[in-house]
Parts: sequence; structure tokens; C-alpha cells
Amino acid sequence: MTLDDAAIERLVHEAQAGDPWAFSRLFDHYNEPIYRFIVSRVHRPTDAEDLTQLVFVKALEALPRYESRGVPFGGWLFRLARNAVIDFVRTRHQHTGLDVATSHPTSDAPPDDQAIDHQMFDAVAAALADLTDEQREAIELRFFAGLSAREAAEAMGKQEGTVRGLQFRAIAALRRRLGLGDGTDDDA
Amino acid sequence: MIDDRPTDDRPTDELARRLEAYAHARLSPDAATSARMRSRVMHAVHRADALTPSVVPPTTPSPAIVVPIGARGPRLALALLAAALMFAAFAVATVAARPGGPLYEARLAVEEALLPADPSARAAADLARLEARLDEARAAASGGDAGAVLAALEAFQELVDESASAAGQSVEHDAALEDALDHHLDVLNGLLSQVPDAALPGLERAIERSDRAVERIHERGPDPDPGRGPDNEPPGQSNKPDHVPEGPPTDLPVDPSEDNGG
Repeated sequence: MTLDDAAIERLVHEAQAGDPWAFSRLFDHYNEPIYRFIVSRVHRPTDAEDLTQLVFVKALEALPRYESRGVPFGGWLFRLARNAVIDFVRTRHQHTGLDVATSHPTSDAPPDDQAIDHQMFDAVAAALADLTDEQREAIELRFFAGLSAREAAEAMGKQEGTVRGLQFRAIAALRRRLGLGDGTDDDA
Repeated sequence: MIDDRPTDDRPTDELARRLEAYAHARLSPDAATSARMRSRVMHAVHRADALTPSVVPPTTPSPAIVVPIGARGPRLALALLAAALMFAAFAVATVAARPGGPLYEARLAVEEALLPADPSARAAADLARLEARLDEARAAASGGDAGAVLAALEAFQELVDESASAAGQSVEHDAALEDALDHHLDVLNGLLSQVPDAALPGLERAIERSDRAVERIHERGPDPDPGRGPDNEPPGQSNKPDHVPEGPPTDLPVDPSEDNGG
């Protein structure tokens, strides 16, 4: 579901006024990006499911206090998600590797093609694991969750330029690691 | 979420394709997960909506908010609405907590707080909760999760004890409880060969406690004194004549959710 900033802002106001339909639209728009971000951090799909729900319930609770004032709603929501993940990891005292305990079949492709995909996904996971935590988070927010740089900056509590820099270096590192060029041009 | 990514920090097409394929295959929720999340979140939304006709908008006050609830004015109304909203939100957040998970205890507490006040409805809800705990134990056993099995069984045992303590107030309920516990004992015995070793002591305790509970209910006999109240004689010591209950007992605890805003 695609919504522009104005539509999101309108839905937020309607949800703040108690319109369940508006909140459902916001949920539909953000639930997959939020889940993607969370599962990439906590790794277990069941935990990601619980935390995603928790984030939206917290958002419902905090919505009356949300005021735009230049803070994009997506960034605000992802900051809730980020904090929920931090609390969760701190409580669980565990932080496993990047291997995600799920893999949905992507197509009806022949087994050989699926095996190639599987190898490619493992390579991407390994390349992501080589990034710094902040670089990886920038990639997760920008490309897995689909946030704008401004939203990602709000979620990470950083300046937009800082996030762009992190992303820039992360992309170069990923290209090198995956053999898609040495990334030197990106490093410039 | 507008794609404002400029070309200087945009990954190459091939890298973008791989990242998206990876995210789609390994990070996206499946349809069932999305449906579950949506259902639970929207349940929270509707509960909040039902409890609070309007949420306070950021700039203009809502007419619904300033309508006083009771005689103590809008300030109390606001406090109650906020508490109700938080309570509803918390309640549904915890629905998702699995046995042994960080939110499981909270979920059980919320379940208890939401039990109906009506005694017969409450008794039925207690039976459903027993069944739910058993289902959780079974699911955890099939997943080989000893911690979750133990957490579910511990909750199950507490419920068994509570239910057995409350027995004796309704012949029909006691019969239903005894039937349910008999069935649960069959299930628990069946689990003996399925649970991880670490969960065996907990399972054996649950079987033993359920056995004792069935015995206690049975000992109260087929002819309990339904007129017995908390101040009357305990079961087995009454010489009162037979008395057919005309309705559910009225001295059971009131639904805690009625006076617990969160």
C-alpha cells in the first residue's frame, strides 16, 4: 500500500481523533516494514511478531501525544520499534548472529533455482553481518523498511547527513563483499 | 516513506535487487503472521475505541473527552480514559506472549483481570483457560521447548488449584470441571513421552496436582450443599438437607477489571 506524506499525516490526525479505520490504514502501511526491521534485529519470527504488535499497541497508546512538528510519523514509529527491540534484547541478554530463522518460499521456481537463491541470501546475510551495527541499521531502515533518509535519521536519532554517510559506506562494503564491484567509486 | 534516495547513495541495481529479494524471502512476514498481527492490533484499537469514544487530538479538544463521566468532572474522565486506553493496549499486547516469554506472566494477569464477573460465565472461562494452558503445553512440547512447557504447566497447575478450591458451589460446574480434569489428565499422560527431559518433573507435578484436584472434587461428593457460603460450614461437615440451587452463587469475586484501570 502506497501512501504519500500528506495522506499519512491525514490518517494520523484521523487516528488521533479516534478513527479505527485510519489506524488500520496506518497499520497496513507500516506493519511489514516494521516487522522486517524487527526480525532483522531479533532474528526469531515469533519474537518479531510479538514485538511488531507491541509497537503498534504502544503507538496507539502514544498517538495522542504525537505531534508532527517536522518529525515524520514513520521515523517516530520506527523509533518506537527501535526502542522496543533494544529493550527486548537487553531483557533477553542475547543477541545472536544475523541468521534469520525463517525463509518463505519466494516462488514456484525449480529446486535448482531455489538453491541458488538460498546461496545468494546466505551471501547477503554474511555481507550484512560484516557491516558495523550502525551501517547495518541504516541499510535495514532504508532498504528493508523502505524509510526515507529523514525518517531513518529520526528513528536512529541521528542527523540525516550522518545516515546518508552510513548508508553510503554500507553500500560500498556490500558491493565489495558480494563481488558487485570493489566499491571504490562509492568510497570516494 | 517516499523514495527520496538520491543516486549517490543508491545501491546498484543488482545490489538493490539482491537486498530486496533477501528482505522479501527472509524478513517479510508471511500472510498468516500478518493476519494474526492485524487482528490483534485492530482488536486493541477497537477496544480502545469502545472504551474511549475519542482519543485526545493534538490540537483541538474532542467533544467526547469533555463529557464528564459520573459527577466528578472531565479531569476524572480524562484520567479514566487514559487508564482504559493504556489497559486495553497492554492487554492486547500481551495476548501474543508465548509461554516462557517475557510477556507471558503479564498476559496471564491480563487474562485473569478480564474474566467475566458472572459466576457461571467465569467458571466457563476458567475451563477455557485450563484448556488454553494445556494447548500451549502441547504446542511447546511439539516444538521441543522445555522452558515453554514448564511455564504453561505451571500456569495450568495454578488454575487447577484455583478451580478445585472454588469447587462445591455448583453441581453442574463441579461435574464439568471433573470431566475436564479427567480429560486433561489423559492429555498430560500422553505428553510424558513427548516433552523434553527437562520438562518431565514439571509435567509429573502437573499430573499429580490434577489427580489430587480430581480427588478433592470427588470427595465433596455428588450431594454438595449449594447453600454453603464463605461463612458457612466447610463441605463434608454440613448436616443441612438437600437444597436445589436456583441460580449461580452471588458471592464470588467481582471482576477485577471493573476496578482496575490498568
